[in-house]
Amino acid sequence: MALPSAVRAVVRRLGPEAPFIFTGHVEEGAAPSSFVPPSANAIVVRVERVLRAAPALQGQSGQLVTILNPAPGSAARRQVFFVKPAFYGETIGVRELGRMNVPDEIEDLHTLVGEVAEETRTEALRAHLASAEAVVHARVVGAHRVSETTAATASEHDPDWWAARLNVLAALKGDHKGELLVRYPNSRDVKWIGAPRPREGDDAVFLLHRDGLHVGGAALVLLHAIDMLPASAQDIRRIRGLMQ
Amino acid sequence: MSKRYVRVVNMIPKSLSGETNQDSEPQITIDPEHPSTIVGTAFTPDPAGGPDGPLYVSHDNGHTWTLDLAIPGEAFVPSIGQILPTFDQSVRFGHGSALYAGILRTNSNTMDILRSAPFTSGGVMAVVTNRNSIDQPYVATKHANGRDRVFVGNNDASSGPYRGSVDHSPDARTAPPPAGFVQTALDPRVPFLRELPPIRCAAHRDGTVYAAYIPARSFAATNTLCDVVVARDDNFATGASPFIDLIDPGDGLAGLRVRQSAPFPWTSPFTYLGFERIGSNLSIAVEPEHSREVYLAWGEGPFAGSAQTLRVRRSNDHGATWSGDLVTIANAINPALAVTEDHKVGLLYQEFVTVSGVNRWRTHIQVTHDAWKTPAEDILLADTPEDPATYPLWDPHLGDYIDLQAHGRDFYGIFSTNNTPDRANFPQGVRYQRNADFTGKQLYDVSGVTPVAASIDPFFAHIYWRDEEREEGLEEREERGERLRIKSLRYERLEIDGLSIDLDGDDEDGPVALLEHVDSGLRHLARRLEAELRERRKRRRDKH
Repeated sequence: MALPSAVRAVVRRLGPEAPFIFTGHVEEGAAPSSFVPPSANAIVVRVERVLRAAPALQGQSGQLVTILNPAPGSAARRQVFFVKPAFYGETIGVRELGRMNVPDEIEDLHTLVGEVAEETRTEALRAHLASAEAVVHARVVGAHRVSETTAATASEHDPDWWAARLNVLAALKGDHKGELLVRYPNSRDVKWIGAPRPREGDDAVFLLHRDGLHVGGAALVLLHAIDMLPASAQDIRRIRGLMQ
Repeated sequence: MSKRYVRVVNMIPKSLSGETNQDSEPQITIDPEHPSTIVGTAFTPDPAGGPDGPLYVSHDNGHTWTLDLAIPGEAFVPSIGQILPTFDQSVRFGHGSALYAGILRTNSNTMDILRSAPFTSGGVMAVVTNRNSIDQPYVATKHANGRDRVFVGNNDASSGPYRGSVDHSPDARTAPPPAGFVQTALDPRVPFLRELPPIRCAAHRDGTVYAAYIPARSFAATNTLCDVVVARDDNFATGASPFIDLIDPGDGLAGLRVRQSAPFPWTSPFTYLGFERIGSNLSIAVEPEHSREVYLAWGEGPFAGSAQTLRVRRSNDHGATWSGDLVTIANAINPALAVTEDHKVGLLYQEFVTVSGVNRWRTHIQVTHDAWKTPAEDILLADTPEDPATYPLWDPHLGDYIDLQAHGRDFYGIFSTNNTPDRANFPQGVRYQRNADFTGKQLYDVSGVTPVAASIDPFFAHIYWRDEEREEGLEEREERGERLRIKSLRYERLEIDGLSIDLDGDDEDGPVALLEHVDSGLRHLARRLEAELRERRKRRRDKH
């Protein structure tokens, strides 16, 4: 049986904003986390099944969660909760974005929550593609340091710019051909977590933006994890589709 | 006669037992009016990927910790790959539980100065001012004459080379943004090359404010030659030209050069000691009673057999003259100084050693009662292996700094290190909130079933002294095996099998409250403890 449209609508409305989604039941009389002032409006819910969570929160099934300022809910004690974490202590405290009754089609609900999360990621990719100056399928033929930073000018958060020479195999956006120089932060500093670091021989799709700098002859830059994506035929078809 | 105690706590809460983040570069502050409230920071993201960063908050003197999402960040897009909405974070309490912070924000690339007055859980700190192109904000506060004096040392590259600066406010608690903050550059010397990242301030209630910085004087191939300079202001930096009250007799300029043209391992690319990038360590602390007495620590090198050596010196005359080295420590990083109201000086640091081919980081605190005239008490807080698996992605591995604060007669420290649950790694003992099996030396997620890899966690250390007469007996008693092991009975706290309760001096009701929360076996034991405690108190009262 398909999920009722009302359920689907709630998931599509609340899902993108809720990093933590679970089924659970209100524990009447349970004491909220001691981190919550006694005067706070809070309820306690025991998590039954995690439908969406960051990796560090995947093991919350069976745990108690304190919901701060809970929304007026239905009388049903077992519900689907859409929440944002507010604190992490002995147990987790969350702010409620909304809730709904648990549908009979719980497996379909779990699938839909996953689909909505994937759609959210896809929309982020679509927006990032739209803001790119160029998108190319290319092979890395070399990389070298172009940073002009010295001990006289460095900070601990210096990007340590490097440039990768790309042999463009296909321009998916823009009209780049032949060889293209793109810059990337090779720094290990915390500020540059997640930035791609292309290496000779890599074959990938590159999303190229400008950041206002022109270092070592490279004005186009790779800053984000999704600026360097797999380049299978299927991946390229998907990227082309997202740019249409 | 006082006896010294050390309490080490892994600060990751139980609900985050599954986390494997590299929670490095920590800092700590104690609410001076409510010292059971302690706030810490580290390079820790919201585990759920939200835009705001967490403060580590304890309301029970560091026994338990909660991550409170209070540091404002930026909209987070998981697929973009950004993990930390903010990176550098520095926090200090002022008066009335006001909390101040200086942070570097990832997306806006600004230093934001934050305020929460009073600090309450559940809210996000407000931005009172910000500035572009800043590195390493580091906050100092002092409440005096009814005002919170706030000093944010920072390294400002907005108009060229990095220049040591202090953003300071004479009354930061209530004024609307920008809350009275103005910026003062420190280094008057020419030619000016740059300052290294740490700019550190220490303020005294009489109006004396010290600011320490490390100006580079020349750049060599493998190291950099630097001075170590202390500037001073005698009236909370409220005059027209702040930080010019300490004149160097050598050149007549403001800021006394405690060290001149010493080698520093500040290079590009960075010099490493193990997995730690080194080259810019600095700490300063003023004696709470006498502002004339000030301590300074920094790291310099390389020298034969030491990539970086820590040095500690002292001035007894408001920085006009300085001692020679009171102590030196080879191959060490992250000096953090503090001075208690009973004149103890603490030096927290991390030492790199290789034992049987295994690199290790040893976190020490040296405590001296006589400014190292006699050997200091050297307390080894942690001795952990340097595990490549805990260093997967980024610097700093343990941090470019750690922190030590003094309140009353106590020291409160924070440091980051390998979290493998191994008693041998923590010679003073340790308490984990997250699920940990010390027998199997294995972490587990919140379910207690799924193994979790080792990573870098922040650890809290409380070093305190209490009268021995309040310490009689009761330690390590056992009843019905492990489950009822009494870990300790200290005058301020009773700990049984992971449960704990403040006894708070002569509070007769403490253990009684505990009785309401434990099972029957523990209740039986707690009743016995309560009887013994009452007897101890009676003897103490009779004695007095």
